[in-house]
Amino acid sequence: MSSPVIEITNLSKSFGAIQATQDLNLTLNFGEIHALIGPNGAGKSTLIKQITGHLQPDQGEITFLGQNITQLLPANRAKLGLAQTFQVSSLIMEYSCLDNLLLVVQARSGSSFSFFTAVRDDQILLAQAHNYLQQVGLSQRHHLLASALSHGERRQLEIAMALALEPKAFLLDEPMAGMDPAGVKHLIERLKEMRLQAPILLIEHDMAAVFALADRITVLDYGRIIATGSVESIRNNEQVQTAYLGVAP
Amino acid sequence: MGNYMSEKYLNRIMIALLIVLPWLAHWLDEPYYVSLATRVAILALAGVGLNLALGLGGMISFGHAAFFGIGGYVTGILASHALNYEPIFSGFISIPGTTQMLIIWPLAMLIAAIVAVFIGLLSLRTSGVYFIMITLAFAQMIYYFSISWPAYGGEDGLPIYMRNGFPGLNTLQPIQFFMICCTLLLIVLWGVSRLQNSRFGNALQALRQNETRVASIGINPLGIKLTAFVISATITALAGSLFADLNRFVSPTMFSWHTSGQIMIFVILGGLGRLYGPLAGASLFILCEAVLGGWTEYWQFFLGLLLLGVVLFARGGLIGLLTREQKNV
Ligand SMILES: Nc1ncnc2c1ncn2[C@@H]1O[C@H](COP(=O)(O)OP(=O)(O)OP(=O)(O)O)[C@@H](O)[C@H]1O
Ligand SMILES: [Mg+2]
Repeated sequence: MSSPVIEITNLSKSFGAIQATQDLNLTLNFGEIHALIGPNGAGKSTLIKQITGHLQPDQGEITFLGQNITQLLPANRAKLGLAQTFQVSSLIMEYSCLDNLLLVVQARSGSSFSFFTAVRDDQILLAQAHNYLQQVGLSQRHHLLASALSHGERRQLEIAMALALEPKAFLLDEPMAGMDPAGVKHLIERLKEMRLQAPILLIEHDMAAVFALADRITVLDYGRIIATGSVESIRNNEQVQTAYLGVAP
Repeated sequence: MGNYMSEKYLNRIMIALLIVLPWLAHWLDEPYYVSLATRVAILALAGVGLNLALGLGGMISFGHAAFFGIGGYVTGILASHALNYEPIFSGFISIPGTTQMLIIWPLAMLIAAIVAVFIGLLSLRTSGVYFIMITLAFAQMIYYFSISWPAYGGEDGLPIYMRNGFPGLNTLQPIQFFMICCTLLLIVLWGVSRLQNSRFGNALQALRQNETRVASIGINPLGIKLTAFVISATITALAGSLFADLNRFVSPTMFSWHTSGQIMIFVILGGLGRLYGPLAGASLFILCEAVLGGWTEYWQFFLGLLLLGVVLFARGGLIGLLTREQKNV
């Protein structure tokens, strides 16, 4: 068996009295969609933030493709190939869709320390940016400011930005939250394609989507893993049903 | 990027006025107005420097007086040593003073850059009110240091007996010195306009809006911000050097927080992040000072009202008001 893409060992993080992550162990393997579920406040987003480096764990270690990244800055983790989407859309609001993607393509294609050449004259970058917009169906909206997009479109733009990083792993924090059913259906198909490029750690409350997509499911409650396994085993796990599935619609 | 045409048009009008009016004054033999225009060009240059950090990068530096003053003092110190033939430093080598602008400018900018790296590294990890306070604190430290440093005049400041020289020009002639300042302003404006649209400018302006997002796509915010802060400081230092030569005098007031505030007022009056905003802002400021100042000594009260009006009703500043354009990059 090949080693995991992301390996988290004995990770702990608390905010004052709240233990948001408790001695947590988790892996993300090549080719899989690993869903992370759990009630509100279970510590899912906190876990993603520790993987991306926006939060520093109190204890434990995170390795990515065999490299210990626990001390790396967020930007350096992204350069290694970690792409994330945020639970609350996080975009460059006064930039157009195209400019949002241009920035990502620029970041991936080399240094940002170039001072005299206009980035919008770079036809190669522009073509790449357009290509990723097209992949999520936002081509027609390329000139619109991110702030003028609908909620669903913002979610799509986030996905496009993650794609544009050509990452080695996707970390998606509730990508379907607030989308209409058609958008959800479309995104499910999209994620099936994305997993062929890189494994996905997927936080999602939409259980139908989780059951349709996941290879493995891990259930988090109070910062602790209460169950992990195949879709079938989680569906039938009693503890999970009381802690989580019981209250899900 | 949209419809930038009319802002471009307004910019050209401002440049044309900045060049034509002083020449007119020169022909009419009114050197006072030439020196007024020179002040506009120099203060606008200081503002262009701050605008890079504040307008494009969202770094609310309340300490740019430090760089303005460093530019001034480097100029004054070099000139004073050149005139009394005492080396600035004598050891295994001896460094003499100079009265050559072409040597003074790069030195002033270099020293400001070194100080900016230091201040930037300590302040840029913070943001918001902490960043404002740290930059202010550094500038005030330098201010008090300059007051208590008797070697270069202390509280009384340091006169520059002869305006520093530029090859082939008579800098003592107001219109010639004006043309030096104006040319530097135009060169810097051109440079910043290129920078704005470059990869660097793209990252910098994105950072202002959403630092977490920029970091998460692999651009390290600190590197970009520090570089912008340093470039910004060097531009303001260049303006400080010219300001010293204009007045033929440097004093600790150049370092005071009033100076930081004034530079910030040019930027905000003209329009935050607008390339020519500081020129519009500095022009308006000097105009107010010259017109209202002749009429009442409380002219700054009216300036305050004007600033309030701009902040409350015209977020795009004077330029935004005149072009009625939303700035979207
Ligand atoms: N920056 C912070 N400071 C203090 N407490 C925090 C912080 N971030 C998260 N928490 C707390 O940590 C716990 C876990 O939060 P987290 O956002 O990870 O939950 P989640 O599983 O993503 O929930 P949701 O499904 O609502 O998004 C919560 O109790 C939350 O209030
Ligand atoms: Mg969350």
